[in-house]
This record gives sequence, C-alpha cells and structure tokens, in this order.
Amino acid sequence: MSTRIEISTSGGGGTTPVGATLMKTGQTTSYRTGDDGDLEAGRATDFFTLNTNNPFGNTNRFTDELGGTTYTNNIVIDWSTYDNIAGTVLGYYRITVNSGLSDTWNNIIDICLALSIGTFTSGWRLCNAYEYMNAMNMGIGNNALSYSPFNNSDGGNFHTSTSRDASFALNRNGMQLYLNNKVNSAKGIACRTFTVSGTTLT
Amino acid sequence: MATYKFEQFNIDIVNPTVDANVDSIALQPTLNTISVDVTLTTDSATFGIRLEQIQVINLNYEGKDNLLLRVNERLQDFII
Repeated sequence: MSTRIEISTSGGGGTTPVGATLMKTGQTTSYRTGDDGDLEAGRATDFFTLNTNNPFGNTNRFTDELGGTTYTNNIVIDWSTYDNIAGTVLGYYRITVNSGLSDTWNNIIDICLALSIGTFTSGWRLCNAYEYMNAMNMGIGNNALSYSPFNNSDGGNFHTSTSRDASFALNRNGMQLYLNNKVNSAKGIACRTFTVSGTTLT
Repeated sequence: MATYKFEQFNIDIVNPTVDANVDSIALQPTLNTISVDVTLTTDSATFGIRLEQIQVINLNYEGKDNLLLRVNERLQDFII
C-alpha cells in the first residue's frame, strides 16, 4: 500500500513568498503596557539578530560584504532584506556621502549615483525613505544610525530620494522624517542592491 | 528586593536595576523638586518612566550617585 503525498502549487504553503513581516524597530524600553517596547512587534529575534541564518551561516543581521565584521570598505549589508528567491540584499555605505558636507537634493543624488566603493563601482543610490527607516534603530534615541556597525553619529538633516512633489522631498533628522525643500542643503546616505551568489556579493 | 507598581504598566516590576538619565533632569525651583527619566531593568524587560516630584535639599547637581539616592527615595512610594 502506497502513501499519496499531494503538493500544492497555488495558495497555502509551498508557494513563492510574496512578502515578509516588518522588522522590529529596536525599541526595547517600555513606557506603558501595549507600546512598542512592550510588544516588540516584528520579525527576527531582535534588531540585530535574525531568526534564521544568513548565507554566511550565522544569524547576524549586519555584516560587511565578506560576511565579517571588519567593515573595511564601510559597507554594511543588512541581511534582514535578503531576498533568497531573487538573490539580492540591501547594503549601505555607512559614511555620510560628500565627506559629510550638506548639499541640495539634486547634488546629493548625483554624488550617490557616482559613488564607487572598492569593487562596487556602480549601482549606488541615495536611500529612499523606507531604506533610511529600515536601518534606524529606534531603541537608541534620537541619533538612530549611531549604533554599531553603522556608527554614523552625524546629526542634522539628511535628504532621502523620496519626493512629495517637484519642490519638496522627505528628509530624515534623528528619528523623524519630515518635508524639506529640495534646494535646501542636507546630507545623504547611499545604499545599493547587491546580488548574492553563495557567499559572494556583486 | 523590591516590587514596584506603576499605573501605566499592567505588570509589577520585580527587583529591577534602577538608572536615571542625568541629561533629562528638570528643576521645579519653587517646589524644591526635580523630575528625571528613570529606567527599571529586570531580567526580561526594561521599563521607562518619568519620575516626578523628587524632593531634593538643594537644586545643585551633586553627582550621579546622589541623584540615584534621591530617585530611590522617591521610588519607595511605588513599592507594593
């Protein structure tokens, strides 16, 4: 007598994933029952620890592009964004672009597009609003990128690549996003989509 | 060994480590009181409160140890 096993190809389990739960914000201090620090809603063990291994075989959310923690090129790979179907992951250049100098929205975008870091000579872009928010650790207070391995303690305004309209773009300052005129000077953080093949990132 | 109860939390806070954020001190000069952000950390969670009406002898900052003494005195009012 044989056992029949049916595998569903649409609906239910076994289908290609189409999304993922949002990550935890990093806030772990509770100020009342039911707040973020109490519930810590979101994916992964905590802000820094995945609940499954990254391609390098550990649960570190952040590594450098070689899977280590030396960050020689100042590239921070965020494995919480790893798409193992497409084979892509988001990485950040943790240094404020333009040597930390502020500039207009257009100029900061141009600087990011021209960025070349190590062997990653193209593909860089100014972070959009969600890419900033994704990296911000809300558990450390106002300067939400000042945690290791980001260690970016630059204050002030940062352009995002996300616009409200032709004149205004979203800016990040500390923990908040707000609208700022594109001609105003602000800083920028660049990111890039990396292709993952085994443990090699290109 | 102390257990604290605050209305904003629906659980009791048992034997926490108490810390205070010096940079968050606010003075009420006419009342001779201060208020400060305080964290109470247990093995499983960290709770943040704004501790008000902390009685002080004077309004000079006399160091973290002294601040924590005053904080712990005020926290006595929340022990159950």
